Amino acid sequence: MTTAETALPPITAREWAWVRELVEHVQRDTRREAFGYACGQWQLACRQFHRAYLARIGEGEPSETEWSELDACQQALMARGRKLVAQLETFPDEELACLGLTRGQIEAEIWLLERDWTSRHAETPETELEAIRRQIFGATA
Amino acid sequence: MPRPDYITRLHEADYDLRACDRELKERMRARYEQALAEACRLTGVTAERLEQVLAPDFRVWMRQQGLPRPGHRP
Repeated sequence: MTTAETALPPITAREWAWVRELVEHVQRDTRREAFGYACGQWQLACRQFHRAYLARIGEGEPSETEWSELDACQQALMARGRKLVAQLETFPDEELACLGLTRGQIEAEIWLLERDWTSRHAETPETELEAIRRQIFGATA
Repeated sequence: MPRPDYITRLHEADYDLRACDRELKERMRARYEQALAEACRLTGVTAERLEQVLAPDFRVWMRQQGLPRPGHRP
């Protein structure tokens, strides 16, 4: 150890606090950007999924294989979306706004996937559904 | 099979919700929920059952409309 080094003034508690604050700031930014990227990629995947679905059903009824593919994609998107929604709680609105995101956008996306899934997979007796069908479409026949 | 207007409105809202950009998702969700609430009120059927019954009809309606693929602008 040299004389010059020993002569350095000690780092004050205030300086350490400033360094800690900088480190925390960087960590927050990194975490926020990673979340923003994950959300952006997920939203893009959802968008492509809906486009593919609408394009396919516009041409005709999907085959069993196609339904299986759609289901697998939808399940993966719902699983990822639920994780993102859980993480949303840890970000204040201002931080989301920095990413061009709102809580409502993410929640609407997962809501759409889940209600679509439920409507296609619920196990309601066919007789009950048929009665509703007759009520709606039969009434104007 | 004739399709009541309120069902057509619901299908339109459903299509727009699926096809819209992320900036419009919240607004389109609200529009869909409004159309669904109207359909529930007019039929006396729960939202869950109504969506189950209408899922296949939405696909038929899509084909009947010959709607453009979302994202393919004219």
